Amino acid sequence: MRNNINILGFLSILAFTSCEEVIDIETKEQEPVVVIEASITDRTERQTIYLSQTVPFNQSFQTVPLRSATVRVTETGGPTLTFTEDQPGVYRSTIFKGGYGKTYNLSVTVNGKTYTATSKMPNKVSLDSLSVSEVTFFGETRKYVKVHYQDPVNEVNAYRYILSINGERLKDFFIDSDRFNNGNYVDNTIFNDEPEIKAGDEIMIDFQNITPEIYRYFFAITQIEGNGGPPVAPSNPDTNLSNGALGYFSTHTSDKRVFRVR
Amino acid sequence: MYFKNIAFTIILIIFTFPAFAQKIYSLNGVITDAQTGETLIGASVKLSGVKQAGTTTNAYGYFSISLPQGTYDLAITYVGYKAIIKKIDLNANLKLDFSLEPAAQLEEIVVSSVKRNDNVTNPQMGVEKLDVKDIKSIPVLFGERDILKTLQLLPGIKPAGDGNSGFYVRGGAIDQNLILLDEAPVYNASHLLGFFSTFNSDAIKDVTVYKGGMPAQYGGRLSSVLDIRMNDGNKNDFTAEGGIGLISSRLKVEGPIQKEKSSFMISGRRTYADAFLAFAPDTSLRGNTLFFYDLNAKTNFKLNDKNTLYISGYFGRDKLGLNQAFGFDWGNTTATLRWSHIFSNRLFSNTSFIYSNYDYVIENQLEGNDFKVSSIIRDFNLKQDFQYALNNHDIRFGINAIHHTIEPGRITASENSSVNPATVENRRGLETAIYVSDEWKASDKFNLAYGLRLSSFALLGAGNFKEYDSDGNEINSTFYSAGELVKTYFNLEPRLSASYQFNENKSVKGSYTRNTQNLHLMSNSTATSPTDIYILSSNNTRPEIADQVALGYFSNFKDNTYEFSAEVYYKWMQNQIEYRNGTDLRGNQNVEADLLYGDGRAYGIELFLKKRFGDFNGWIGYTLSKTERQFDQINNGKWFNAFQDRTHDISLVGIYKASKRWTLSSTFVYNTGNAITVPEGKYQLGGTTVFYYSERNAYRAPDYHRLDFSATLEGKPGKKYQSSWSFGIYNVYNRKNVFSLSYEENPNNPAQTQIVKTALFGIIPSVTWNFKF
Repeated sequence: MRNNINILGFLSILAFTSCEEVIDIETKEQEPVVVIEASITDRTERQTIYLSQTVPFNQSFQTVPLRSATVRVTETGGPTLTFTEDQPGVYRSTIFKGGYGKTYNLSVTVNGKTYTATSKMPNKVSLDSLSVSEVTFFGETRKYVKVHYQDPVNEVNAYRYILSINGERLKDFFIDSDRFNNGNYVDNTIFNDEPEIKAGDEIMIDFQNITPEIYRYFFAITQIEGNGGPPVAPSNPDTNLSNGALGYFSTHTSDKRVFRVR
Repeated sequence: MYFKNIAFTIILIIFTFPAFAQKIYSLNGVITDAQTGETLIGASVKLSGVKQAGTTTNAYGYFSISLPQGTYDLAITYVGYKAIIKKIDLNANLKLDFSLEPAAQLEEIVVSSVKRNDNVTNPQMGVEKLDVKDIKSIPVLFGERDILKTLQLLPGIKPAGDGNSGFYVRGGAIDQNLILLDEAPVYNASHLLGFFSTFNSDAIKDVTVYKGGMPAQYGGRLSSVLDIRMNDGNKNDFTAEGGIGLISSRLKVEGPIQKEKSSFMISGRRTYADAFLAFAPDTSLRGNTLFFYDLNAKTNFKLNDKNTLYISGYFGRDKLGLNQAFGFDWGNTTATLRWSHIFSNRLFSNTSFIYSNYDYVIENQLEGNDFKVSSIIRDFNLKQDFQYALNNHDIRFGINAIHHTIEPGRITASENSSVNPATVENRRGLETAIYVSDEWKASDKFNLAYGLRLSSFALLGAGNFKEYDSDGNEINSTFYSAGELVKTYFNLEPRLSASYQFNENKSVKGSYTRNTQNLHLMSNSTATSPTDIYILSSNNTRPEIADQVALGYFSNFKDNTYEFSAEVYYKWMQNQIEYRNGTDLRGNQNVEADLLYGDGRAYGIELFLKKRFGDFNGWIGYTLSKTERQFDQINNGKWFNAFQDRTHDISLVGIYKASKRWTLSSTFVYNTGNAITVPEGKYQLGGTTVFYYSERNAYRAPDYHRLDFSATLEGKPGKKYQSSWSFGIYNVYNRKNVFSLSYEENPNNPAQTQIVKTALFGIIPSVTWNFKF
């Protein structure tokens, strides 16, 4: 449903004089804000949580890790996982597998402030298969990855696809929901921007069943980037984290596959 | 309560009319163009004798004026026509029709001794009339004459974007403009994603825009009323005219059906940008379509001296198609049936039955995922309007009822598609209004226009109607059966404006207006977009309300050659709408759960200097303004600039008749950049840079400015067949104005982020050939 891309193509036909230019707007500097990227998955592995803080827009990017934080995840009516700092700003638990339908409570204490969030792990939806399809837009035929899976009919489902090409993780956020195809066998084309997929490429996909809350979080980000939705002035997406932290706490299933494009 | 006082005054006036002792007679009639038989709107009728009095013809060319018995000098004038001056004896009620001869040269009018100072004497303020002749000589994008883009050169009216026909009036939103074509609301007044308006200027006779102080017969939108009237059709001769341009071609045919009794006009236009695609070297481009067409038609029948019937319609459609992958088409349809009836020499009646429809269809033909989304808004509208002239009063009263049906979204798909068919519930509503107003010439110096509009809105079943709390959580859901009342709102809307004349050339005016709005646009874009859907007022969404006060100084000088005005205004807006983060409007059954409600305010000063006559004419407009919004859930509840807040706005228009055949014209516009939200920080999520925002709309896009030229060469006069060439240059000095801004990583250094502007229209030349015979 990414129709706006096509419309922009039409506009460029009409406006044969269009052009792009970098401009300079002086921005104010703000106090750094805590960024938490936390997930619990259904993979049996060390669960990982990333802590960092914002940097000014005009600065060359350097991730500023947040160190010496106390990070815990408690399963409601279950065990508590303690995370230890593995690398600066990267906190890992012992080996653990998230349980379907279980509720997890995150607590992060850093620089004297505590941030919390709660999320429930959805049921597993498995990826059936992957394929590559060719699509032509404005005379340009490109290969795109297609995912095939059976959407469960009795629940509201949302998905995130993390795509890597030849070991390089793509920067786009690919999300989908079953709002228009609930209960169906789904064949979805993932329209990635760069790089173009070629024969011989090794594709890896992490197919995730995410909560509707996290779907909305990423939808808001893609909307700000102009990928559909009404013209809200850009703002920070609503998050399940408390106390003004940026980022999210996601509990999701994960189905990783690798295949080579022929 | 001031409402009560106004109502009382109106009642008092109506009931005290018969009490005049002196013998009062009325003079009424219709004023037409002598060549085409077309009725003239806003022609001036002035009488001087025992008493002085004046009026102007209404939207149907009709006028009525009442005066004490006596001998009068009558003067009938209209811009671009030779005046009629004659003596009349008013010793009985008189019906006199007049035909005005078009003047070959504008200067001839100045020679006549008649003062044209309506802008000074009329109590109405915040009103602008566009001369269709001006529209023809003002340069616009691709040489396509455009009413909406010419309007945007007036103070207080600002374009939604570069080359866009959407507009903001006095800090209001795009959907707060009531756009009427022969009384029918037009829901999406643009073609080709906003770059052309739906109004083909060949078919247009008269354009009036109210930025404030709307007369009571108008209602339903907060910011403005744009009242557009189509040509009736030439009653005397058959004529055809048209043009061949860069983007489109046009043809208009008109003529009498039965001489002097009935006539017709039909006017069409089609673009052919896609025709060039057929020659594209890239074969894949050939399968694409991109065009629009529209058709205006009107016919009228003068049944007898007292009854005239008008039927008019508009039909327009845009089509956009991408090979076998994607299709998109949309358009408006309107139809108006109107019966004008003269009850007596004082009472004029107008009954209209109006139909409006806007719909769009999006088709995705990707195999396995095909679907079709359609959406419709459809109105049936009944209007009964009376105009009653008595002595110094011009009274208008009537009723209006509009039934709305909205199909927000219906999704259909083939059996093989993974998309499920789905329908968002239809919504129905009934808007009704009764109104009364009086334009009262209280004395030679003091004029008053005042009125009251009582509007009601009823949301009707069938359907499931939900209520949400302030966080957007559903708190209850009730099913209503067909026709059942779900929610009703009543609003009293006082309208008041007054003028005080110091002398013939100087006056001050003041006005207060309340407007309400029960139809709210859910737009997918900051500019006009074909996928616009509307929602009705409901349990959650309350009517939008605007109160506006304005004060103005009006002055004409050099024998009314120059007009100057200065207006200040302040507008309060309630129940304004914004979206929550992450709102998805597509096929959304619970869109109201995602809405936020807040307040708005707008204020400013508008200066306008116009030279009306002479070889050189034109205007300068300057607006200094501010428009802000306040929502509890946005920007920490603090007031923030609306996107369309543009501090300074200047427009210059010059038209120069260089010789008998050459007319040169030029426009220059400048405005402060839009208020925008710019990231102040950034962070990474899984290796992707995400931006951090603090205050809303606290920054400015770069300033907008542009210079356009156009030149028209008329064919040699005197021939039966006339032709002209129009040459234009849009954006003469190739200014790269901002169409959109994006925040991106520097491709050469991903650690660095940058702001990238996209400019759409650089310098664009155009040429159009026009003909008439």
